[in-house]
Amino acid sequence: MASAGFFVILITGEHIFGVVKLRSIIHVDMNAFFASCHQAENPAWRGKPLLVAGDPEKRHGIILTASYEARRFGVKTGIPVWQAKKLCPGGLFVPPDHKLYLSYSEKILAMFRNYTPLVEPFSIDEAWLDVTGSYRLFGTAKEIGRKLQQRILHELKIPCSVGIGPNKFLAKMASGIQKPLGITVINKSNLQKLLWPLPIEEMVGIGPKTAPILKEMGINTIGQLAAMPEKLLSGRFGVMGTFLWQLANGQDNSPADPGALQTVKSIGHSVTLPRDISDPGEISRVLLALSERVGRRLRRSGYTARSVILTVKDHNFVSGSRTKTLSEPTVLTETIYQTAVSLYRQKFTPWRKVRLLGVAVGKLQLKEAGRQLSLFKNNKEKLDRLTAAADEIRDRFGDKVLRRATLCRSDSNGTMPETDGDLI
Amino acid sequence: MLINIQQKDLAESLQLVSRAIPSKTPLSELEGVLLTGDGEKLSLFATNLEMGLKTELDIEHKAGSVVLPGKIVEIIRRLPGETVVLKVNTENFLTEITSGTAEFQVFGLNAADYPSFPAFSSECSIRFSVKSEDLRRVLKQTIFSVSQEDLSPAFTGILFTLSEKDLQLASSDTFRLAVTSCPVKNRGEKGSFLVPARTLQEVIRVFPASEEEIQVAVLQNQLLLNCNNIYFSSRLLTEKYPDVKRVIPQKFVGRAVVETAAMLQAIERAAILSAGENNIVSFTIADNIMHVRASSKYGIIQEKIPVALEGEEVKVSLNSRFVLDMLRIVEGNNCVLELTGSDSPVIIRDNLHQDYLYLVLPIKL
Repeated sequence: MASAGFFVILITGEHIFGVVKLRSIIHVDMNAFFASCHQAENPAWRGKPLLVAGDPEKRHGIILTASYEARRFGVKTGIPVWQAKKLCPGGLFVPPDHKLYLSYSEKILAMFRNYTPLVEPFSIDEAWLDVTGSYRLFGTAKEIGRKLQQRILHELKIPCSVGIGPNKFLAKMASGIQKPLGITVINKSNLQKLLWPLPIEEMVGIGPKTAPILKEMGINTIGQLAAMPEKLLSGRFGVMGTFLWQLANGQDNSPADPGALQTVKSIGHSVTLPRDISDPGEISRVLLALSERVGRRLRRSGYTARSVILTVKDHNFVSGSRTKTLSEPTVLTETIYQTAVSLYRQKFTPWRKVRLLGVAVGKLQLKEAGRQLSLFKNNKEKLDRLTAAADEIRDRFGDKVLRRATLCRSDSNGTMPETDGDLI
Repeated sequence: MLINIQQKDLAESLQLVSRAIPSKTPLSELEGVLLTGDGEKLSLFATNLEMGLKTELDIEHKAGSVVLPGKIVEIIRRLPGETVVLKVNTENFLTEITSGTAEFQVFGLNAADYPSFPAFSSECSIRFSVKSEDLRRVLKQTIFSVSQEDLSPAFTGILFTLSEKDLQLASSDTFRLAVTSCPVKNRGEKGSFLVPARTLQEVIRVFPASEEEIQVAVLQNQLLLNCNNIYFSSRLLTEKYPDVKRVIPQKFVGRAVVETAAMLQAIERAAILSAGENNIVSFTIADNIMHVRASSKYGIIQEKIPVALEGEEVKVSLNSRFVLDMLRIVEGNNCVLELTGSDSPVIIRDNLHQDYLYLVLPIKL
């Protein structure tokens, strides 16, 4: 790792791009985190195959995490419990305890903050640390990484893998290379050797939707992606293509942002329809189905939304989106839906053929304590209670047990296909 | 049609009706202003079918009619000369507008396709009159507490209830309720109707704050207002409005008198920190002190202001926005708080207008 504090002048061709500070980023990834937490808490369970299995009340339950001891029996995350029991008959099956994980996660993050304030939690068991400025106090990134790994293991009994790189992407890729308890450095000089041979699926930023498309283009490894002409990728994937190409070449300028987890900007879903539609009734039904999903995710997120965003792409691929700000924040599917429909009526040409519809909510704020009482025992309060009850039923028995009658038509060929994906 | 008119007069009149010009409508002929003249009176009328605005100018001209596009408002406003000449070709409605150095040719439309302003006639089911300044006052006292969401249409309107001697207005977004009334001149008629707050906003704008009487009438599903040369019409809401009297408490545990300005300013300060969805400000109304408190991740504020309380001490949390909305339009030096408990309504009254009642529901913590 180039020691921190250097300034490098990037020169491309004849243009001087400017002074860029070389950064040192550490990515820490807890190994089998849920299982490790239980083992840390109960010394008797250490060294034994331990499996954290989903709540059996909620659709049978799958394996959420298996300890490394259990992985030797072939247990993988995501397989059903019955299968895991067959593979690993002597395994300890433990229900998940999110409070426990959160408390460990917070202890670990607090430890990280002793070394730098620039800690960006990525999820409950992963975080980035920008230690560029910590060199004089705590040493090189590799030294800090080793110290962290040792402290987490000895003080909290949790194993972790450490990745180090000049940016967040390379650090994250590095932490995945050696598990458990690895320390890996990826930088410009060993990029070709460590990063490029990896299969494209393992690259951060490439999901189950993008990978097959890349493979169709003959791209199977990260190295092949890096070698593609950038134009080809941006032509196929837009801005995302350029972004992926830069990542594959080891370029990532995103900062380690301590507030990143707190800033969910919007929650949305969109759908490309199986055929273009123009009938207002049909459009309303699609908007309802989308609003239902958005509403449910919104309520789970603990946020309330103050705006609704409707996106429409017509049969000519002309797309536009319109936003409406609500006077009161909402979590209700009905409000999202009715706002989306009224946006459609007000802002888009009626009877135009529509190819894609998207509904999102924005201006998110954390839900507050306290409930504003209302007069006239109006519908809203009833709706609040109805929604809460419906959510509870769906939490227990699955999303499909309760459906709105308007969405039950089996005859229309406008039946809802899977959404294109989350528009966070 | 040929009109020779002062640019200023025409611009002002167009400005007045311009708010009723729809910006986007499937009926493209509505996107304009109707000019009709009988030779002595020139009338300008615009409607978006929800609301109509009409005004008249006394000016001699050659009679005729035309619908000019909405752009006419800006065209006339920007003309260089003191006078304007409008000349309408009756064949194709091409309208020549000349003023000073400028010369416009505007494509007009046939006025036959344009609706007309409903007449005040014997067909009107309700007729009465009210002083312009009174109507403006009761509108201002109620208009802010309507619901902004179109989802419960009834609550986007203000309920007018006419009795023999007065007109009562009530509005609510279900979290608060404003009720007020003013005297009317009425020949014994009674009735009630629900008017969209959105259109009533324009009433406050276009009718002057004067002692002059506004003629009010209800014709089928429309409200008509007229004062001098200004005519206003609004669609009525057909939704049912709940019984307002039922939710107004009759028993109180305490009654406090507080200086309006002191309370307003204290809550404005507290509101800085009461950010968030409910803008929670907590009040403890004790013997002679009212504590106002608010807190958020940015900090804490607490302030004590003098009150005169008769009755029990009450702690209650309210949305600061709701309280501020009302306090800002209070005209009296003092306000009266009628308290019913910590999880039940607070009534705020303006000591200058005894029949004005503002009820706010608390936030249950």
